[in-house]
Amino acid sequence: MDDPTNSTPPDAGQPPAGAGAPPPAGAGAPPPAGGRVAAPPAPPAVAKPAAPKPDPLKAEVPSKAVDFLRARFPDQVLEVAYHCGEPLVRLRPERFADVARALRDEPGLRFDYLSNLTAVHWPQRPKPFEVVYHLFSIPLRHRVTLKVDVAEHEQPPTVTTVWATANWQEREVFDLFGIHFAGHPDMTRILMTDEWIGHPLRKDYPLEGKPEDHVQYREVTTAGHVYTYEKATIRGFGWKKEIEKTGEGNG
Amino acid sequence: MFRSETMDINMGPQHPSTHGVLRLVLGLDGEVVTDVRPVIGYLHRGVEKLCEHRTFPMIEPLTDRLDYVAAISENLGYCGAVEKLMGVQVPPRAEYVRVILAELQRIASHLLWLGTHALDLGAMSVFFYTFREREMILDLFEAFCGARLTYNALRIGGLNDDLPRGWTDRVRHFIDIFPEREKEYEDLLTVNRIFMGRTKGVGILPPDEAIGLGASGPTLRASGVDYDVRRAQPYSAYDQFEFDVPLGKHGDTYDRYLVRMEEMRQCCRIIRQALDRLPDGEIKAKVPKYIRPATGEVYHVVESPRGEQGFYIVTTGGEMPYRMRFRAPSFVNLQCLSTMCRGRMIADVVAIIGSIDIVLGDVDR
Amino acid sequence: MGLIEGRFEANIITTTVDQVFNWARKSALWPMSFGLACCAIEMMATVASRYDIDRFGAGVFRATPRQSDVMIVAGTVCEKMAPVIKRLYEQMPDPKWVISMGACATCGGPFPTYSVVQGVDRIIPVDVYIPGCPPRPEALLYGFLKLQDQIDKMTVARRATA
Repeated sequence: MDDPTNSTPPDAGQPPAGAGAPPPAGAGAPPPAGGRVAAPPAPPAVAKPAAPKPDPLKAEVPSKAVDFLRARFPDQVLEVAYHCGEPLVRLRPERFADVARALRDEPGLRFDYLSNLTAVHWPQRPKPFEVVYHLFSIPLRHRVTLKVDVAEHEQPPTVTTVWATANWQEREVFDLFGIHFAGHPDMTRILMTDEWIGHPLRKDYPLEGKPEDHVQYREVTTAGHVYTYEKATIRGFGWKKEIEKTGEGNG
Repeated sequence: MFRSETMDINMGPQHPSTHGVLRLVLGLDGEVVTDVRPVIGYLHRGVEKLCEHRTFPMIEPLTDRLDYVAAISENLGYCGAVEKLMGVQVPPRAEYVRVILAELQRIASHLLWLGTHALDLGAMSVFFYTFREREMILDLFEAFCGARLTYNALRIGGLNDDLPRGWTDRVRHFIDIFPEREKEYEDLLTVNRIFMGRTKGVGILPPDEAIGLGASGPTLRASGVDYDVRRAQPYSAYDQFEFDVPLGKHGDTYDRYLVRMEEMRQCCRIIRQALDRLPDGEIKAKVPKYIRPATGEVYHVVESPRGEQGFYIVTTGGEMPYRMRFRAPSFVNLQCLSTMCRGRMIADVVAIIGSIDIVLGDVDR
Repeated sequence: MGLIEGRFEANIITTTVDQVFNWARKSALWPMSFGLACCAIEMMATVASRYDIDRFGAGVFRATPRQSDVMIVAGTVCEKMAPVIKRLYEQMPDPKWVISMGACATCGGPFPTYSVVQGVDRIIPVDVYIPGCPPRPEALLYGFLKLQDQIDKMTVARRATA
């Protein structure tokens, strides 16, 4: 990712700031003390394209977790990045449960606290879902972020055996994104109703919801003590009403 | 000759003691609870998806409505996350005022918890006493930002406006009179035989299970685990203040009560230090008019009165976030309910739910 | 009031009866504790000592709908909760009223999303709407007084358009 505001256009003869520039042509170096022979004039400076200034928010920070993962699971690590001073490791999904267990049990790391488990939907990517785990170590007080890319019907392994808190958080990811976690004890919806169709937090799901989501009850007739209710579905918010009779209830 | 069966009883979502729209399916063997299955989602408003369609300053009022009892801690965490994402340094005066507001909010939230918890257990007068002090705090907030419950008090980069004249004196007066008021509640509850009988030994959460279940806040600290985000991952100006983090011993409901009472005293201590050392200066850093953080992501945690509140923001350079995730402490703490209720009776379930201190807006988002 | 309602034309007896019944109904409105979200906290503050709702006769919050007169829908109504609200409303005995407290119950509030019912009046009939997010306790009390004014207009006499 580049930072266009920071790059200066290369200018011939003008050494760009920040790059180790050779002394400008023609400027004579002060004669060294001791009578040594003055160095021949330096060749004209060749303007180098300016390196973009490193973004301080993406600077590399030392991290024991990253070193451990690179040493112990080098084939599982796909990418290491740094955001706002925190390390981020992208891993393969296949052996993720083993990696998680190792991170928790390793004496130098002790990641015993799964702070957050969620997912992000990137529809343009070949593997559109990205499951994100934020780990924290209570005794050693350090953090790491792990990411696992999964495809549409791929099932990443569950980590409920490693951290019990993942139970509900994985259910929420399943409910809102549709990602099944292999080996989860109770993979059911948690926030939406059980009959809900679709996974709301996907990017192709509309914010206002689909028309069949919204219900309205309206009393239609009153004959004696029998009230008839009709369940109407509202298309959008009040555009067009479609009424279907569902049944009668006793008042 | 006689045979007994377990029964499944539904508790909620409309129930006086479930603190909101929480539904519990209890598996009962007579009066003893064998299994608790919380059913949530009755207040799921889709805030995370809504944030993908709102600009960064527009999201702040939405964060108020998540944990509506501790709205300042939500605002603080959200503004802190965006400031971290943009690399903005908040001026010291704004940081100190934010700490004062956050600690006042912590006292107000614990007072609400105490009133409703005691009300559930039958001590109705405590409810009226705690709300009397809570109204004093809400008056302070109203003088600062105009709202009593959903504040939208902070801004990305600092505060919206400086303190009103005389506000610090009013805060000082409040923390001067608060300790004796707190003693009133303690006289009513702490050595009350009925209260102790209903809370001691009830809802024990072992520490290693608590860590594995991701509990945080007083629910975790009552089990003896020393994890307070203000200490472990300091944010705002908390590393400049001296305060103790109270820990419990047994992890039962009574310990959670004691931890929260002690936390209120520590809040007064922090506020006093902040008022004494309140620096002058600007109240808002220079941030661009249209907040467009560069592509990246951040996960920022704060200590809300309920526990570890996390904000995970993924941005792609636009005015709206690409993904906004709220790590809700109540959602995670509620998972501990089945561990805590095992083998207890129905009346204990009411006490235990009250002691976890959940807010359904936070659970369901 | 099944025996005398709608039987007689308006006369001095029915107006006196009206006055008595309406006074009795409006002075002892027992709400059902139905706080859903943030407005519930302001409802609790209205019950507390500073804004005491008990002086209007409404301090007895019943937990069960069978014994309550008014349902204060305080908070966001979600699709998952809608059938529950419908059932609770049906369980309340007549005469019953509904106060929709706050922006979420009135019109969906700040949440135009897939899981929020845009106003509780899509599910049950509402008598008084109280705007605000959340409305101050004074606003809730004003809404209560408006409801009492509505109750004052009830009559047992036969209406001309019956």
